[in-house]
Amino acid sequence: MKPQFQHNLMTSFFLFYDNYLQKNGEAFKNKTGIFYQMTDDRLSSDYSVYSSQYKQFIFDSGLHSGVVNSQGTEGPIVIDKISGERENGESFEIARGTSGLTIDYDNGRVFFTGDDSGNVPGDSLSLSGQFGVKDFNLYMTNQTEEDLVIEKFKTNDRFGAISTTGVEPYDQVLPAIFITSESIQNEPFAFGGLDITKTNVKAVVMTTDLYCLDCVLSLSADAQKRSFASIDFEDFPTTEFGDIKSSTYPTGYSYNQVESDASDSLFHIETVGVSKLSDRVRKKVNPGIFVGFIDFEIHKYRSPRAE
Amino acid sequence: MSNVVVPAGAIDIVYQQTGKFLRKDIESRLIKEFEVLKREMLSDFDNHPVTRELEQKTGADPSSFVTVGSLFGFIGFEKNDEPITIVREMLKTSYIAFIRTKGAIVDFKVYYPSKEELFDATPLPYATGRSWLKGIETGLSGLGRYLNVESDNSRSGGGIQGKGQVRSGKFKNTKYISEILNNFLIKVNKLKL
Repeated sequence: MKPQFQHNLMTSFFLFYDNYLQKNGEAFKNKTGIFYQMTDDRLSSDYSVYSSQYKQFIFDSGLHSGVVNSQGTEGPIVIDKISGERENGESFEIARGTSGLTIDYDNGRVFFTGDDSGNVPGDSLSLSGQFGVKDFNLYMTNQTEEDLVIEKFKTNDRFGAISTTGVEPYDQVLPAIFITSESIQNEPFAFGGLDITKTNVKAVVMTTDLYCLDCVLSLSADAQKRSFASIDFEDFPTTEFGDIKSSTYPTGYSYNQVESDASDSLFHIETVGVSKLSDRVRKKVNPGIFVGFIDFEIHKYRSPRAE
Repeated sequence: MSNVVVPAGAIDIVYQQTGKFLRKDIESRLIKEFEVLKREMLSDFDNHPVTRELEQKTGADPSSFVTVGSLFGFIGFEKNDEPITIVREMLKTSYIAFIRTKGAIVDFKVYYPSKEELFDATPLPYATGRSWLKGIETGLSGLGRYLNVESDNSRSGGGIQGKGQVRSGKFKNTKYISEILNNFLIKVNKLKL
């Protein structure tokens, strides 16, 4: 089946919300970190896989504002190369796209087939890189709120006692925001078949840090009455490997650019409701994790019977 | 026979005072008609299956809206909670009032609690920024059941736990207060004397 309205809506909302939190809340940390060698049965054995301590990496290169922010940088670093040292002390650098270097922004890791000379690098390399890490991972999910809150997610702290191994791929880790579309309804709006399509999108915010939870809830509440650009499902910026689609975004992905290119078709956030899970329930089902709920009602004026 | 000529100014004066005289006659009749519609609205509310289940509290097990336990327990109310009372009291405050007369037009206005006001007055026990009344129509998660486990076999009786596992159950959302208010408004708009 071809992508439908709901696919485009969720793609658009995901990218908008990710950018909104990072741009307005500076919800990122720039890190210089080590990559640890890992194994991944899902990937070809030709790849050497190295994982950082964190995920998800920021892949939006349009967040540099030219203004130094409270973290002393102009914005998040979008990793596009790694540096390494061989066992014999020889150093090397690989840029994204060369030597088969793939950057898995979703899972905070890199994998590659060889160095910049095309040589297979071998094991036990000492690799490092600079990258921006999201303060909140963002996931689209189909799980119910209840299942999310009860599930024991691993945490991937951005500061404090940081793990000294690479983060496991594919697992969803906290702090995170899980978004899902719950219901969709078309209501007649004008003659000629114009409807308002009302979609309820719910987000569950989970974190170990109450301050960060309040930040997300406050920012989200302020998103009421904002509009965001409609972006096609096919234009989602990352591939199945978590890397940026080079064919669609040859010079890198920038939400600001995508938004200005698609400004003729907009979604509108009509209402936002935020709430926290009461301590009584939280302590019973998942102590140590703070949970917030965000209810977005998103409107789009469209002619569904003419599409 | 000579024609009778009524000066235009006199017609205007009569026209301008018509409303004043009409009001005396229609206000009491309109209020009476409105009270009938209000009683019908309250009756719709009282007889709605959701209202009845929530008033029966844990007695409404099995529920028509959740697969396990009672709706009252599913939402997470305490035994002594009376969630329906606030909604009914707010609906009861609906009234019709005279506003003004303009020429032969007599304006009345109907006041009733909006959906948003009702939602604000009905917080979920486990997430007070959300409304259980709205959740009945849009969907509710089962987190409310965790409020009442580990206490007198569940204080509200709907979230009984066995071996650390809360009884699972899904909620079936349904039209509730929106439908009741919409029906009321349709009737109010058709009010005729």
